[in-house]
Amino acid sequence: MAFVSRSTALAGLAGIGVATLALLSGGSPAPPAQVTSDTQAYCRQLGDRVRELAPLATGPSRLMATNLAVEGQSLCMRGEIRGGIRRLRRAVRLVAGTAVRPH
Amino acid sequence: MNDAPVAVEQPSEQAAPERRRRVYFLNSAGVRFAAIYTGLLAISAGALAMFLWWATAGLLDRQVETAIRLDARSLAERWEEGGLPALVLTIEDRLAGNVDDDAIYLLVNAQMQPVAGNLGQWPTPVQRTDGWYELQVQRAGIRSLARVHRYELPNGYHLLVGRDVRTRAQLRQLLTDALLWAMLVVAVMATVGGLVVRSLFRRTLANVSATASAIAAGDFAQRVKLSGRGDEFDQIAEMINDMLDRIGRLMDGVRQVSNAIAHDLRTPITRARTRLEDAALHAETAPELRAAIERATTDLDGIVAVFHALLRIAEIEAGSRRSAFARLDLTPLLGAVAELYDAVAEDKGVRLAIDVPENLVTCGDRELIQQAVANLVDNAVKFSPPGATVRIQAMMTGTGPSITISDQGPGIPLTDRSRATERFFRGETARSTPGAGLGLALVQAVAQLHGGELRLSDGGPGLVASLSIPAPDERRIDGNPGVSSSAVQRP
Repeated sequence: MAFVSRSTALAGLAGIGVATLALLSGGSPAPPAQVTSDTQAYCRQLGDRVRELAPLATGPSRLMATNLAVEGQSLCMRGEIRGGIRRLRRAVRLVAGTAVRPH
Repeated sequence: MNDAPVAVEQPSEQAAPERRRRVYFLNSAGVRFAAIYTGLLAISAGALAMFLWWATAGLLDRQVETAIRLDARSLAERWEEGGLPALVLTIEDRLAGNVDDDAIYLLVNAQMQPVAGNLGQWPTPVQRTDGWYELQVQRAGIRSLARVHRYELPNGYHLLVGRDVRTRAQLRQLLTDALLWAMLVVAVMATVGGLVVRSLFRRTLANVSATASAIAAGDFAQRVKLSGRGDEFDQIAEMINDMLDRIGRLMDGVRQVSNAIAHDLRTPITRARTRLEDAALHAETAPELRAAIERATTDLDGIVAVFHALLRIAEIEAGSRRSAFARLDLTPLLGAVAELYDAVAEDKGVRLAIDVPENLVTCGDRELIQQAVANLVDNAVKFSPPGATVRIQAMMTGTGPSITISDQGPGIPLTDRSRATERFFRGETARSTPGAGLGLALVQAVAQLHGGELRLSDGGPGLVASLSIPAPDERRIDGNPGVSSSAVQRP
């Protein structure tokens, strides 16, 4: 009987400690922010951009950009969103002809 | 004499383990040295690890922050140039061209509604503009980590600029884990090293402890072994060995004196007793009784003189007379001794010649040096045959004054020369002359007190006794003239 009461008291103390830690830590953590540039919609948006800019490009970069865009969209449709977006972005840079890359 | 040490040894052998157990772990000097070594190694390794972490992981963070600042500055310039439309277009262009796929942008209006960028909504924790935030972000279903900064724009617009640092965070974590494991290894190595240091320390001290234990048990021949490296431990060992040698010499001296007193003084004491007893039994008149008492008194006076000389030698060897050292000129001292023994030498038909420089300055005890020289001159005159010459010479050498007394007597055979300075020693050639055998022992003691030495050599014929008294380094007399003739001729 003494053992049961002692164990119950220890469990209660442990629970109070966990709750206190939870309170001090500010409750449940905030949900992660959603990055909207890792979606099928953004894939299509980048594909449209390439198609808009491709006619303005000249030389081998136009062909390369077209190939990259096709690859990228293919990857996006297969569910490999980030890989597809990387190829589409490279295609955009090729046809844009300037280093639009952030620092 | 032999039983007493045995009775003392048993308690000390039982007490030694008790004393050793009382050297608690934390009081051990070896543990302290080991702890110092361990602590220094751990602190050094920790400092190195912190520097490496700052140079690598810290560099990664600083690079990201610099990139975000530059990006935000150029976006602000676009806002100033073209207002909101230009900024929106620039953000979209940068996102479209972000091949590294790490850019994070969010432009919101005063109502916190998204206007441009690739975040769905403004992250709640990002409230201040004077700090950096690390956000959890979701990218195509995978959690990642971003480092972001908030900027305020005119008209209530807020801009968030950041970078995906998941890869960098993984690298930083990898580096941190590696450094932590390295620190663990260093801690283990430091502990092992500390134990090795303690072991070396104990092994070095064990040599000294073993020697001390053996000596405490009665084996006075034991000496501390030298490693041959000439380091500080060897220096301590040499000092301890020198000290043990000196203690051994003193103990031998005590033993010798005890034996000599027992043998050599028993005779005159017995003779005095016999004379008094004889006088008590057979003296019939007062003059006879008085004469017997006077003879006994003379014998006892001789014994008292012997004890006085022994005590004087003991006082000299104890070193207490060093406090009386003072600057003195040996030339007048030698002259006074020569004058003192001039008459005695004349009575024996011995010529006394003195050849000393005009001044011979040193530092020492005037009375003791005078006594030592007097003893040597006394011996020389005593053992010289009529017509012989006793020479008193002195000169300054590289280390200090040297006084030489030479005679033309029988000398001391080579076999006896090493024992000549022992207390009560009398060679075969001295048996027929009066004396207790303490004169040269006193001279030796005076020489050692002054850090010098007494050398006895063959004069061919006779004995040459050289007493050297080195001058102290800080008061070494330079430029003292060498021997200049001032011979004193005696008829």
